[in-house]
Amino acid sequence: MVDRTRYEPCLIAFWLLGSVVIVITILALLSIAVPELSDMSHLALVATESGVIEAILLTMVAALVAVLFLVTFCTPLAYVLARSNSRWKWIVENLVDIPLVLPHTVAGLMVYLLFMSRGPIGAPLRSVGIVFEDAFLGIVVAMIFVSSPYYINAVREGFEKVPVHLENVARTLGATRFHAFRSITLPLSTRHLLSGIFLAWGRAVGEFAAVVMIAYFPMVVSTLIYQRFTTGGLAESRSVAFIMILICIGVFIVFRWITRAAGRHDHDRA
Amino acid sequence: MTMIELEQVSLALGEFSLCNVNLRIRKGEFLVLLGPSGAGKTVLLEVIAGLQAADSGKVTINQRDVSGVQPEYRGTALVYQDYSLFPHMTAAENIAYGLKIQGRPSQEITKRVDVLLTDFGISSLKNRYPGSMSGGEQQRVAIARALATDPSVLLLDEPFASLDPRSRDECIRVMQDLKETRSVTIVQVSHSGDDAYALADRIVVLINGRIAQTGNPDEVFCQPASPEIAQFTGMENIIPGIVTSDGSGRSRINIGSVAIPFPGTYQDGAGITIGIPARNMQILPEQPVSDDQGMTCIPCHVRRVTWGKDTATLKLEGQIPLTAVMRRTGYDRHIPRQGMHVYAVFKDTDVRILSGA
Repeated sequence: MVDRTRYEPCLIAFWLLGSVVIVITILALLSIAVPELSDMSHLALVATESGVIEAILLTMVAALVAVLFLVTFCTPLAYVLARSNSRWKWIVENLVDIPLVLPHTVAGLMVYLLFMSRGPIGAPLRSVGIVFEDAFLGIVVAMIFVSSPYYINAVREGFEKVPVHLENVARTLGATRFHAFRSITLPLSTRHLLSGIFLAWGRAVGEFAAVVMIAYFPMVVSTLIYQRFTTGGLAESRSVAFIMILICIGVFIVFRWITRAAGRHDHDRA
Repeated sequence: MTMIELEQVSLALGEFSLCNVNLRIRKGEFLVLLGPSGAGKTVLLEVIAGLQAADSGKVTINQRDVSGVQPEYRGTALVYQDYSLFPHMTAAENIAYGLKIQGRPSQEITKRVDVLLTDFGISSLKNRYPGSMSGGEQQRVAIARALATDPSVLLLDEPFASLDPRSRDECIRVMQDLKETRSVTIVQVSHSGDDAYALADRIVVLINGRIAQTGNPDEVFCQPASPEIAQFTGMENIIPGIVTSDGSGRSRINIGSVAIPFPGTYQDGAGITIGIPARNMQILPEQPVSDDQGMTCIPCHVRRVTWGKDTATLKLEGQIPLTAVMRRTGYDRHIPRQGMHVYAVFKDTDVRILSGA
């Protein structure tokens, strides 16, 4: 049978409009990939630089720690938000979304004010040896702050899609609320959990403004690219950027694959 | 022995509410909760199961006040209308869920699951996921899962509502077996009279969160206690009128220019509502010759005939609008057609007093 939808003028027009963004994305990727791939030796040189490797590792590990924090502390929050009927829920929901609407420099300033060595959280923790300013933990905190809404909203949406009836049945079969959450709700939200993790991780890896305000050093990749752009010029920063693109695309592909395999029983797919 | 007792249970929950519900359910009883949608039937089940906390009142299960007890400690199993099977578990895993939580040894679990799969005739589904099962299959897995832990109370929320007629009959058979072979107390929400007739020891009619009537199926369907219940249970010809008493021990209800006799004495001038089941209405082509004092004959013409598989429903227009149901025999010569003039005939014993008595 002929797929008639392909020739509908309305859909063709929509494709044309939508293709603007797609074309820009492709051009943007090409503008970095083409010159880099045509000078592989320079690329290899940059990729093996200890400064670059350190920055990449630091970014990855910091983002991973930020995501682990979110999974531990924000999964429960997402669940209570999904299940609560409280009149005051909207206040918490709006608080969760605040980092989404703030300029990232503002978010960075907020994190800095709280966690700097003289800040209300930073000062007491500094006295026990925990430092945020220009330190690994500062990077992690900034990443957590800007990526939390992505994680919480994705996971909350997943929990909301699991019918309360399933939990109710589990409870009448003898499961405590926590057991019902762990054995029913959590496995049925796998896809949303993974997508929350991925979105938050991506946000954390890409964060520049918020991170740079509390920790210019040690340098995360975004900071390194900016620093090279301002000091060494286009070619210097472009190589680091290209390495980052390759890593991110790789992670993206792996994540897509895991999500597809893990979420086969998710409720909205059944 | 009383298994479940509700005392003055009230709960306001958005559009649903329960209002001073008092109910006692005997051990081993099959109780059907009947009522229009939004009457609070599901909420009542959830209150018994402990999934909703009542605003006031007391719930007792097996002589134990469970008002503050969490659902997992109540010994009540619940089957929802949508069956709510865990989609990430096979039939066997679904059934084993409660047993695993109880920490039974895995050998015992396997044996118990196999017995239940066989009992419900679903052994072939053992390793299948709910997504690949039909409604009837899912329902049987859901009931097997609910019974796995030997609950003292089984709560069923419209278990037949979304089944095709064949699966429904099959499932009613399963429930009848269950009733005969196990001592479990069953509370089933339904809105179908047929289900209730097939299964119920007793029916409780819930309307607007209040218990409107309690009784066996015949009592509820043939002697509804109010016009609302009559309407809900499908009684036709619900007509309000004024009583006139001639002092001879017979009363009549005046509806416009028609006077319908009915048994019993009622106060002259009282306003009452009567109901006449449509299947008790005889339709004759000619006025019958009879001196029966209790007979009413209303001339009317047929406004519409709605054909069913076994019956034809006639909408009649006369001094009062009436509905009659006639059995189809295959020839259907006796069934009048649209526009014909006929006589609707019924006896005083067919007249039910619904309110005002």
